[in-house]
Amino acid sequence: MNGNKKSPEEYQIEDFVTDESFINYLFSLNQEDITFWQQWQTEHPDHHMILEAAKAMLCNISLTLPEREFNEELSKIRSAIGMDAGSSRRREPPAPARLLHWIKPSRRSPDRRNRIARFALPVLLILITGGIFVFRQLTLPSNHSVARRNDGNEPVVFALSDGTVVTLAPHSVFRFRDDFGVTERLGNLEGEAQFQVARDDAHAFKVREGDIVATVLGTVFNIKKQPADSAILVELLKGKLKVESIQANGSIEQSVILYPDERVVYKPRSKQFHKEKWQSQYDLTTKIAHLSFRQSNFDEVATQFKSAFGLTIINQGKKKTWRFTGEFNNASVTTILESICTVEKLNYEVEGDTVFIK
Amino acid sequence: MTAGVWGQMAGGDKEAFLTLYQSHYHALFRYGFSISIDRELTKDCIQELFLEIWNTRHTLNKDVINVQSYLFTWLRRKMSRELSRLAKDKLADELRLELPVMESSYEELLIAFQQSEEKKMQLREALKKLTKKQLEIVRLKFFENLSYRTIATQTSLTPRTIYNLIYEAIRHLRESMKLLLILLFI
Repeated sequence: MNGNKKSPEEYQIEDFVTDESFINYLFSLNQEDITFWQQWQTEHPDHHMILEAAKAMLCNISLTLPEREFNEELSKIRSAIGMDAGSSRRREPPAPARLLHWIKPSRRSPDRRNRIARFALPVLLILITGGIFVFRQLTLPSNHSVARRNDGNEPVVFALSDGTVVTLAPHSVFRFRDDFGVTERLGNLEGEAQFQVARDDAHAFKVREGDIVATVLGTVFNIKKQPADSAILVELLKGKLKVESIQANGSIEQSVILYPDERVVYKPRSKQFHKEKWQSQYDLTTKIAHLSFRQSNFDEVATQFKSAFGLTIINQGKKKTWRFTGEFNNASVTTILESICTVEKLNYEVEGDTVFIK
Repeated sequence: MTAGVWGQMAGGDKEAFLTLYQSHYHALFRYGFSISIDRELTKDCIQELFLEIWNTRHTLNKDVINVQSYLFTWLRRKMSRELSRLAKDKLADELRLELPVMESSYEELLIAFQQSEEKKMQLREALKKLTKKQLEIVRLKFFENLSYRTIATQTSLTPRTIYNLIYEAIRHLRESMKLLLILLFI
């Protein structure tokens, strides 16, 4: 996305740094963008200083080696494999006269690009919440697993190598094989996490707890454990989910496909599960609603929260007057509060059914 | 696309090898640096990694689907071996596999990446003025390299709002670091 209406000639440093096409060029991610910016640079020598400053800034905030340092590494590797360092380099700007098949860069048509992105990068949203959540029988060989821990008090967001975005709740551990995505996509979670799974039909995203396996078919779902392990609940909010129970020898005992508002209740003692209808209970993370704000002030936001979630909001923030615009589809209380607080630079605390804006 | 290039590289194509090097280098460096917080060590490990790939290309699996995952795995193993060796500690050697991939915060990494004490100090001051949430969104954009669209999905904000938040943060950093940028060109 190029959120900028300016043309590159009018760009300030921050305009270059936040332009996705420019980022693609600097990190060699997209050939069209590389070609465009190399060409642009040769045509605008007077913008040299600002471009270099933008590159330096982008390198600094993305922990990327500056071009000069990277080129040194590149020439080392070239000579190591016996390639003449003096021969034509791919990164060097092609001579303008040879640009016969000039392709208009994608940054010129953000709409078209967005459309493509929608098909090329469909993202499945998976919500997994619950108590302890361990794939006991998928004991991964310890020398091939990697752990991400969140010992802090805030959720941690990170991307896996396949593009899946993981939000790991406080005091949770996510383990995955270090060849995650190469052969299979299996994770191992203790605690809570949300997965925004990158679509990959060749490698299904599987979640296992005890004898239960949930295979993602494009879904938002919860996995919960009832007290004292008396039952495991797999609740589906959105999409389609396959749930199977398996025997010790790995053969499938029971298999069922879930649709929205259905859940599986599994009793480990009897090793049986059944499917039933369910309604999401009041819960900050699972209760969802559709809310829409248009230049709404605190009172309007509070009214909508009251009717949608039954929550009372008290404004204790120093900043009393703000207006928020945003639309939420099937969003949870926390999602909406997080968004408002991010935009308005506020904090919040929840106590029982009351939210304090600070 | 990279899967095809990988096959060509395994077949001995030097240009394909360089294409792989160029398209994966920055992500690998970012990843390696976040494990080691050591610029030179990370550079060395990546060079060794690529040389090993080139020297053993005939025996490598030619049908790697996710090249990036494959390279990350290789680099992670290499760096944890290297770090344990440097620590000369058997215990660390045994425990290394349980090391969280990223122990340092983005803020710490940014400061560590600066090469002079002066720049480190200046950046530390500049970062203090960003809110936690702003810094987090900047991290998602530039460290995790997510698109505005993906970050928007993640936070239930619009791509436009994400763009504006990042733009504001970058402008703030640029203003705070103005002196620094000027110094770069003296």
